[in-house]
Amino acid sequence: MTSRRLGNWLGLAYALTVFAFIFLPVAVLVLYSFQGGRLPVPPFDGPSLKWYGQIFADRKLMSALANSLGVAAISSAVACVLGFLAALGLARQRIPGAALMRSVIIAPLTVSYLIIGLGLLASLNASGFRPSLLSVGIGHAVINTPLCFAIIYSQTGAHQINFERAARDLGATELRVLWHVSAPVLAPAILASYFLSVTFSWDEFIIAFLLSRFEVTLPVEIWSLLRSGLNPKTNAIGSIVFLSSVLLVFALELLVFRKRGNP
Amino acid sequence: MSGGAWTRERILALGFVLPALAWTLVFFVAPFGFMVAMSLWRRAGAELVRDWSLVNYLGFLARPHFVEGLLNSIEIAAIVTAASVALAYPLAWFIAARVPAGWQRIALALAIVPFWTSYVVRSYAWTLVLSNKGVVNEWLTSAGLISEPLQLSSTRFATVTGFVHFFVMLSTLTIFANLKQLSPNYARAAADLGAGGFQTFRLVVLPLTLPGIMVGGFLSFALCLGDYITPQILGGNNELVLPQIIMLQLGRRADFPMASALSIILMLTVTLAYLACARWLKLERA
Amino acid sequence: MTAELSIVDVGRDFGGQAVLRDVTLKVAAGSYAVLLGPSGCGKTTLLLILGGFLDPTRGRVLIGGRDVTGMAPARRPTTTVFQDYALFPHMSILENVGFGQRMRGLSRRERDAKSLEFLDLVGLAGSERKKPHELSGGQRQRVALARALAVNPDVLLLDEPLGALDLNLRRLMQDELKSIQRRIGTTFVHVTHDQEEAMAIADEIIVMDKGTVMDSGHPDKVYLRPRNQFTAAFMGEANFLNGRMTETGSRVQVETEFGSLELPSEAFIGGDREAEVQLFFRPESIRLGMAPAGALALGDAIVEDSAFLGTHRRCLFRLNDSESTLIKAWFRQGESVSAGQSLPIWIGIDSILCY
Repeated sequence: MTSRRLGNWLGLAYALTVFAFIFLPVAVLVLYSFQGGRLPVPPFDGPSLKWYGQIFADRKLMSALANSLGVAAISSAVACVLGFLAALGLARQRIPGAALMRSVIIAPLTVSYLIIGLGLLASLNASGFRPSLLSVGIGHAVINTPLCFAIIYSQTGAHQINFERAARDLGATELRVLWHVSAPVLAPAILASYFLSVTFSWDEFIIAFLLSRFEVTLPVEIWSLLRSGLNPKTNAIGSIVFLSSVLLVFALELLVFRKRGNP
Repeated sequence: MSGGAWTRERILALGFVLPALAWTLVFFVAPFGFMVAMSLWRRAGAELVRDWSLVNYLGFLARPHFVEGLLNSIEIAAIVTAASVALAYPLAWFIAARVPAGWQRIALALAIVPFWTSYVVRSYAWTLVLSNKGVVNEWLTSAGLISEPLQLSSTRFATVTGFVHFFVMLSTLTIFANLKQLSPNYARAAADLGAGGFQTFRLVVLPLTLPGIMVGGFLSFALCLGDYITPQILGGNNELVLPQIIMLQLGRRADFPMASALSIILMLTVTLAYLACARWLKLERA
Repeated sequence: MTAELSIVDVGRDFGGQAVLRDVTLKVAAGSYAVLLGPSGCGKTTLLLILGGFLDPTRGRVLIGGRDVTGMAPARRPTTTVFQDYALFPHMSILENVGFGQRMRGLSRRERDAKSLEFLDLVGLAGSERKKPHELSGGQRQRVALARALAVNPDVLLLDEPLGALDLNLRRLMQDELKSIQRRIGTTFVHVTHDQEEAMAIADEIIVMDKGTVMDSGHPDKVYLRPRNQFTAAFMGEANFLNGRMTETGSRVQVETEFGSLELPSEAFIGGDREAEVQLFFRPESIRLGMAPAGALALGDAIVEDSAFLGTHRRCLFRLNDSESTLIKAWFRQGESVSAGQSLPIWIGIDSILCY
C-alpha cells in the first residue's frame, strides 16, 4: 500500500518539523550560553564557559537560586501534606458537604495565578504584613495544594477504604494506619504530586514577583536580568535551570514510575 | 453507606479535610473575596475610599485602551488556541498511530522537553531566536531571501509564537491521551464497512477526539488570557493585553481597586469561555 | 451472499516470533466455523488476517476462489463483529447500522430502510433512535451484528462476540446467532476460547494452539475422536493412562498397570505407532460395577470426592496401587456415590482412544 507509506513519510516529516519548532528556542538558548562574545546571537564564537563562571560568581543570582529551592521544597511539602490528608478524608467517608469541600479545595486551580497573587498582595497590604519569601511560599502552597489533592485523590478509591478498614480491623491505631497503610499505598501519587509542585513553584513568576520584595526567587531575578537586554549570562542560568529540571524528571521517571509500571 | 450519622470514622475524616480547607479559606477564598470587595471601592489620591460603587467597572468601559486590551487578549488567545490545536493534532495522531508502542512515551517526553525550561527563560529564548540579529533573520539573510532583517521580535507575531510553542505541547498531551483511549477497533470497524482514510477520520476519529481538543483548547485559551510574561517580554509595548494593563495599575499608580476590577473582568471572560465549552461538550454527549 | 473461505499456508511473525505457522484450512460456503483455542493460540491474529487488518507474513487467503491477500478491509467481502463491538458512540443505532451503506453512497432513505430491516432481523426494531450507551450489552452485540451484516458480506467474522455477556444471555445469543446464520446463509467465522460455545453453534470447529491448527471437524468428531492429546484435553474433561503397545500381526495388545487389553485399530489415532502410548477416555464413559469380558477393569477405586453438578454427578477416583492417578468420572444424577466408598469401575473398549 503505497499511499499509506507516503502518509507515513509525510507524518514523519511533519512530526520532525514540529519537533524542530519545539526545540529551536531551547537549542538556541543552550548553544549561546557558551558564546564567547557579549551578545548571544550569530555568529557563534565559543565555546566558552565564562558566562557560567559569571553566574556562579553572581551572589544575587546564587541567593535567588537558594531562595527558589527553599521556597519550592517547603511550600510543596505543605501543599503535599494538606492535599494528602484532604484526599484521604474525602476518599474515606461520605461526609455531609463533601462535594462543596472538594470544590473549595480545587477552586484555586481555576483562577489565574495573576489573580491569586493580586488577592494575596491586597490582603497582605491591608493587614499590614510585608511581602517576603514567606508570603511567596504561602502563595505557592495555595496554588499547589489543589494540584496535590487532585493527583492523590484520583488514586484513592474503594480499595483505599478497604485497606484502611482491614488495618483497623487488625488492631492498628489511626496514626499507624496512616503511616503503615495509607501513605505507602499512595506513595507514587504523593511523590509525583510533590515533584510536580516543586517544578511549578520553582518556575512560578507572577506570584513570586508580586509577593516578594528584597529577597527574591530565581525567576524574579532572571526577570531583572532581562532588563539588561540580550545577555549570554541569562542563557547560562536558563540552561542550568533547564538541565536540572530535565534531570529531576528523568530521575523521577526512573525511580518512581519504572518500578511500579506505568501509573 | 447510609445516612448522616456522625460516626467516629466520619469525624476523623473531617479532621483530615479541615487543614486543607482552612488553608484554602484563609489564603485563597478570603483574599479573593477581599479583591472582589476592593473592586467595588475606589482610590482617591493615595487613599482607599470604601464606598460601594461600580465606578471601576464603568471606568473600564469608558477607557478605550482598556477595552482594547481585553479585545487584544481575546484575539491573541483565540489565534493561539486555534494554531496550537491545529499544529498539535497531527503530531499527537502521528505519535499515537504511527510511532511503535515502546517509543511513544519517549516521543511524548521529547515533545514536552521545553516545558522544563523556566517560563521566563522560554520567552527570553524566543527573543534570541526572533531578534534582528537572531538565528531566524540570520538564516533568511544568508539564504538570500531578505536583505534587511525582519522586525520579528516585539510584535504580536512574537507573542503568538511564544504562546503557541508552549500550548502545542499541552494540546499534544491532551489529544494524545484522548487518541490512546480510543479502541483501535473504531477505525477498523469504519474501514471494514468501506470508509476511506479521510472518511474514517472525519466521521469517526475526529468526533471521538473532540473532548481532547476541547480540553487542550480551553486550557490554552484560559492560560493565554491570564498570562503576563509572554506578551510583556515578546510583544514589546506596541499593543497591551489585559494582564499588562492590570500590572500597570499596580506598578505606576498603585490603583488596587482598578486592578481588582480588571482582574475580575478577566476572570469572567475565562468563565464564559468555560461555560461555552462545558455546554458544548454536554450537548455533544447527549 | 456467501462464499467459501480458504486459507493456504498462512503464517505471521511478530518481532521475529511466529504467532501463526502454516495454517491451511477450508471453510465451506454457508457454514458456521468456530476458531477455538486458549488465549495466545493465534486465533484472533488469524481473524485479523481474514478481515484484512493485518497482513500475513506468508501464505494466501482466498474468498470464493479470489485471492484477497493484501486487499484493504474496505474492499474485501468480509465484515467483522468486534469483541468490544466498536459501535460509534456519537451516532444513533440507525446511523451505526447504516454506516456501511452510507460509505457505499446510498441515499438516506434507502439506507434507513435497509438498516431497519437488519435491526428487525436481530430483534431490535424500535431502538433505532437510541445511542449505543443506552443499550444493554446483549443489545449492543445485536447492533454490531446488524451493522456488519447490513453490507451483505460473503463472510462474517466474529471476534469473541459473546465474551462480555453473562452465561444465560450467552446461551440465548448462541441460539440466535446460529438461527440468523441459517436464515441468511452467510459464512460465519467465530472466534472463542469456550469449547461449549463452540460445540453449541459450530458446523465445524477448528482447534488451534501455539499458532497451528491442532484439529478440525464437526463438533462430535472433535469431541469424541480428537486428533491429539491437546484437543482431547481442551474439548472437555479427559482421563489419560500410560500404556505399552505390543503388536502381533493384526492384533494390537496394550499393557497397562491394570492388565492388558486388545484394542481395535480405530482406537489408534495418528499414523506412527510407538511403544509407549497414552490411553484416553472421557469421564462419562466410566461405568460402575464388575467389568464384562474384554473391557478394561480399573479394579476397586476409592471415591475421593463426589459432587452433584445438576446435570450429572462428578466423582474423583483414586486407583488402587497408584499414588498419583486420579480418574474423573461422571454418572447419572441418581447414582449414589459418596466419598470414602471403594467401588469397582471399568471402561468399554470402544470408548478408549490411543495416542
